[in-house]
Amino acid sequence: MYRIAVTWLGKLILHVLRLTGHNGSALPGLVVEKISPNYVRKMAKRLPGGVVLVTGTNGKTTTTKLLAGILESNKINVLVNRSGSNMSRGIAAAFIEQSSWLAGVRADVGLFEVDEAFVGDVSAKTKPRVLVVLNLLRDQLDRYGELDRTASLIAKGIEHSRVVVLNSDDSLVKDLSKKANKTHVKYFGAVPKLQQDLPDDASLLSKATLGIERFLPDLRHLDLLLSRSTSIKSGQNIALKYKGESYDAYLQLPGLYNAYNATAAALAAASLDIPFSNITSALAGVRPAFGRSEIINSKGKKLELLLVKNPSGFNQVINTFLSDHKNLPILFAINDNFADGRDVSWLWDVDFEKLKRMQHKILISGVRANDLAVRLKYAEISCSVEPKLEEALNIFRRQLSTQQIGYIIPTYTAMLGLRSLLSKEDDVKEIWK
Amino acid sequence: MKQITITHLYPNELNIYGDRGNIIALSKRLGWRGYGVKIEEVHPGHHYDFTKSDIIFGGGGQDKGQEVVAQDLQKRKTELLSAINDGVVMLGICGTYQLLGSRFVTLNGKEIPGIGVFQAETIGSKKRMIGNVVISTSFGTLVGFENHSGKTNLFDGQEALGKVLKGYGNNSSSGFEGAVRNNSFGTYLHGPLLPKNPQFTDELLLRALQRKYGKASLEPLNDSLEHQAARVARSRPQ
Repeated sequence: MYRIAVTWLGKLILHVLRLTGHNGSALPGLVVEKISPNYVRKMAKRLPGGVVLVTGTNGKTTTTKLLAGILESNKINVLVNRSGSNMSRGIAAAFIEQSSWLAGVRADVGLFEVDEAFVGDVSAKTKPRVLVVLNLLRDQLDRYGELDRTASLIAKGIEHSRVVVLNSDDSLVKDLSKKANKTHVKYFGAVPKLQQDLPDDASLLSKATLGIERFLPDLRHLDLLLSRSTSIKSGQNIALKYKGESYDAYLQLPGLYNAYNATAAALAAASLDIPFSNITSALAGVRPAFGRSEIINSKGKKLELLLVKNPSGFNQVINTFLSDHKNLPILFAINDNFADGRDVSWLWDVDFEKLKRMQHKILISGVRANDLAVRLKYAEISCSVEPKLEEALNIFRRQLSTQQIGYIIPTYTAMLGLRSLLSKEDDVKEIWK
Repeated sequence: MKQITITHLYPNELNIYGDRGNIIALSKRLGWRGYGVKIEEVHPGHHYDFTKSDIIFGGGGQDKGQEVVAQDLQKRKTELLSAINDGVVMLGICGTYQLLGSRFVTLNGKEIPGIGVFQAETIGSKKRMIGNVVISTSFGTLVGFENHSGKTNLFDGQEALGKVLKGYGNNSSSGFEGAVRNNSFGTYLHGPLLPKNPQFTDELLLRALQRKYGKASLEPLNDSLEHQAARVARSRPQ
């Protein structure tokens, strides 16, 4: 009875927010958790298939989407929280939104992306069957202070999880296995040839990124191995080795970082006892999440949004999208609000020098556009600046031909700003996720 | 061709917060004026001859990296102090700044020795001093971003780099930031420091060129982009 009342309250708040033009992704959850701190715990218990949590610096949203795609195509209904609403209140909000007015939960499995700092809290409440840890990279250091501290925050979640799926190629993540007492640890990783293209934090800024002095890894401890990743059209073909067998899969998502995300999702799904061939065949059907290489049609022009949050992610975007062709039209949008990271120093850890000879047509926007302009000046790359997002979007779009794809590379709140601008247009479908 | 050697201390251990942007700023501004630049790295355990250095730079890092560096730095103390006393330009940011003092005392009471370039010590605290920072110095207004829990106290007679206009500074109470002694500079300013504060970058370069080649002044560059970025940074909330 109480649970129903609380759910009603949450749903009412949600509807009021929606009517007043907000998307209500966390406030209903915040209110409900204040009134009923056990709400998430109680609702999670109603999921017959239990809970899976996904955390890490980069890739949470995409990995969650991939895993959701795998589960749904295997007839397992999932309850997922909105991307970015990844603290406990965001999960509460997901239950509020997707449960019935009688607080009934229709899904089989709860699948939640969780912010690194809240893994302990959310794990304790949801007692996950599987906890996936993707990577630990310098990101929003002004939020957490240090990577080591972030790692210890995630470690708190391990004891509540039945299985923890770890990225063996990220040394900070691999070390989390030391915190697993009763928890069953599973590892995924890639063959050395692929590993060196996606450095973990320890190798990020050292010469080791070039492949010199890299330990020859022992692959035998891996439960799942990514053995191949080849670009094809706007996606890629990957090969996964599981229990002695090799499986091929196609991804609609480009880039090695997405091959890793798919590998993580596959191992998580395998840990839920889904037959592996059913996993790999499901991957091809998953489309990119908003802001993660999704192509948007806007006023007759094609825009591809690529969210960047930290040096590693930015370097991956540069390698995957901006390094193969010259003269690409690019709009960078850099903000320094809390969710973007208020310290923009990280721009100097991005390898823009790679773009020096590409002669891209670059426009920069966002609150800290000028900081990126200085960064590019010192990389000897020319650009123009228009800090106001709406103006920049108009200029950028006008300059695009109908054949080109315009790459828009925003930080988090700039992406939200763009989403809001684009949602107002008639020919762009409502973009909530 | 005239050349400047920049010595980068512990780039693998002290590389957090984009501090390598300072190396980029120094080398580009030298290159644009027609000077050659040699960047050399110092790694723990590997021999290095500081008599080659014209500018020495060290950035910030996590606590883990700092302890390794502190031990290694002690072994090089004599050579480093010799170079510094000879007028080599030294810039230490955050963790390096702390190790240029006489000691760093962690929250647990563990004492990590510095090399005593500055008459100062740093005491670990529970307070995280983080945010945009603006200071007023004899080289103009400098803007940056600080992120430290160590409180640095300057002893009597130790000159600060500047007065805090916005931010916490050395210890959130003295109202001062950083430290200066001859050609050595220590500060908590990330940002990174040099790109948005080109007049300070040029000050460091001029001192190095003066010492090596007797140069009296530097050709000016067009810094309007840097100044605009600094203006925006200064207007951001702490």
